[in-house]
Amino acid sequence: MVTRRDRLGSMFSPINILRNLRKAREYALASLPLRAVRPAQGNLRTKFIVVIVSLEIVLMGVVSVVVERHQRRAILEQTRLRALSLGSSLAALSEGYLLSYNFAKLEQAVERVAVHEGDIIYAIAHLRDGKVAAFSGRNDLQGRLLHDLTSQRALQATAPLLQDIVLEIAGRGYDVAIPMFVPHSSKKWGTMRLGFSLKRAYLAIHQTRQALFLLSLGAIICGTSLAILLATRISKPIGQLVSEVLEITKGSYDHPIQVSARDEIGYLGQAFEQMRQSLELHLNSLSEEKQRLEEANIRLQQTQQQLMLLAARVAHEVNNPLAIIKTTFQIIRVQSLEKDQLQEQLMVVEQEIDRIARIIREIFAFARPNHQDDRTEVNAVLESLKPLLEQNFFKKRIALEMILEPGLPCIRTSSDHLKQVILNMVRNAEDAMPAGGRIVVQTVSKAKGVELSIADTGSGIPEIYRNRLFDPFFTTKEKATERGMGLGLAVSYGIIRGAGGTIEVESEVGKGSTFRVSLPACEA
Amino acid sequence: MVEPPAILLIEDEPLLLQNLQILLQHEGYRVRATCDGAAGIKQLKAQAFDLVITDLVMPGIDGFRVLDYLKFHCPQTVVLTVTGYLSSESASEARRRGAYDNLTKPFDYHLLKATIERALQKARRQKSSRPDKRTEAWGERAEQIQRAD
Repeated sequence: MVTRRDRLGSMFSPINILRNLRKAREYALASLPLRAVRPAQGNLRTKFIVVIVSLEIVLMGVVSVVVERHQRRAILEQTRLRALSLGSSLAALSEGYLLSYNFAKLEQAVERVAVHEGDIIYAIAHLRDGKVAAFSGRNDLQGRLLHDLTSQRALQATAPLLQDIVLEIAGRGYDVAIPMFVPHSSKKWGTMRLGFSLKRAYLAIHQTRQALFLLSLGAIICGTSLAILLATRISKPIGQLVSEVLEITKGSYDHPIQVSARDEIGYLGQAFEQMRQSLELHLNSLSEEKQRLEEANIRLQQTQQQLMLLAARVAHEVNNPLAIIKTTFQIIRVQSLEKDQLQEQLMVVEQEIDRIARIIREIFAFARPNHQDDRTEVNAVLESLKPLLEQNFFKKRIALEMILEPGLPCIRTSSDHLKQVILNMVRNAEDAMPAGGRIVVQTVSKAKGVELSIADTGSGIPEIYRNRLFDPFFTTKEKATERGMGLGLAVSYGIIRGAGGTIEVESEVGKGSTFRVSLPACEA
Repeated sequence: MVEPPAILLIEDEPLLLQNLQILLQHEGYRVRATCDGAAGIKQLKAQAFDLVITDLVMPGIDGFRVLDYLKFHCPQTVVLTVTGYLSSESASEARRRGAYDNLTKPFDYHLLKATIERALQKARRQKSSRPDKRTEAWGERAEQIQRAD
């Protein structure tokens, strides 16, 4: 005995399980909510500004320091030179007076220099022995020796000497000492000294510093503002673009993207706008298509309904005349019991009428779905059909055996539908045994349901047909008179499926076939 | 002497009605034939029947109304319904409203005979059990309401 499961069973094959799992996973992933787009947090802008400002500060700092140092050195150098040159001039002026010991003239010269140049703090003329010959503003020191370190050093100089000094009131300054030599000899005659104030120099340095500082500050401020401006100019259009695109993702595809910039960002905006336009076009055409499809679907459904109504009416209209014809012939048969040949012919007519009725039933039933609230007791239906079957089989030399398990639950189908299924399967069994045989109809309870089996001792179903048994319009009958519409098993399959059940066939060519129908019990 | 069972036929297709009457009379039943619901109910008022075989889809008073009438007035009578097409909805509905069984046209004669026999057995069983006074009272009250309609 070879078993072949039907299409329902193949649902549990490994390939199909994998396929279904994959489909389920895809579906689950697709239905996850979209990750929310985080709003721009201006990181780029801040970074940009910070970098520019830091750079600027460093730059300006370096520049300021360098320039200031340079300036200071230059100023001090200049001052030194000036001081030296003034000293030299004084020396040149006073040379003659020193040589001729003209103290009065020396005093004059010294005073004049001190007064004339604002930077000069003092001017001193020293004699050969170091005594003061003239001291600007300090006539009391005339003829005296000066014992401070600066003076000592100055008097020992053999070449012009510049010393840094710090005075009480005047502050920092230079002491310029110019040794005087007898012309054309190295004999020292005396020393001319100048005290040069660095007040002005330092003022200039201070001013320079201030100016540099202010300049740096100004530059930094300007730079920062510029950086902020620039950053904003870049990030604002980006922000605009982002908000416009977000608008579109919300669904308003007809909102044009506009970016108020004409550079690369503007170009980006244009590109986005093009994309939006194309999206809008596609969506519009898609929604048009969808509408068209929906309309077509509605029309299709209407057509379907009309067809069903038509089928019902046709069936009804045809069945009435058929019933009349059949009962008329029945009457004729009853009234002419003796004439055997007539009986035979009348039986043929009756059978043909049955054939028409069967075709009508099959077409109609094929177009019709099951009803959900039906309940039937299998055994009751079988019992009610028993007399009919027995009578039919008697003529065809088929033995019928019914083994019905008592107390079976009811199933989810109407008794008419169940009758149709049973009669269809029984008819198939009959057709498989033209020379007679045995049909066993059995009902057992199985796993919260009922199993109904119809076994015959007929010719069996070849392997190649078993897959197609339940296909609509499939028939193995060769003779046209025996062929129906081939819908019998297809209809039965539909009814069984509608009741939530399964149907299997076991068959061995030459030995017979068994159809097993499993139907679940209807819930209480 | 036991009287043969009384069967009432209600069928709007006249030729079919005629044929059924002939066939059933040949079987030995007492058959009354009516071609619409109103006439059928009139017959029901006039005499008691063991079995009623009625078409469901008829103009005017249809099979369902006949079922309702029978439920109230003749609960002892067994009803078989006949339909022109395999409509499980009508069949279930008919059963809910009191029909014993349903046959589809064109019915197999032997199936018809077998079903009638079963129905009559049921009727005999019902007759032997004591009549229900409450159902009778209901029947009277329903009749009063109907007359008031």
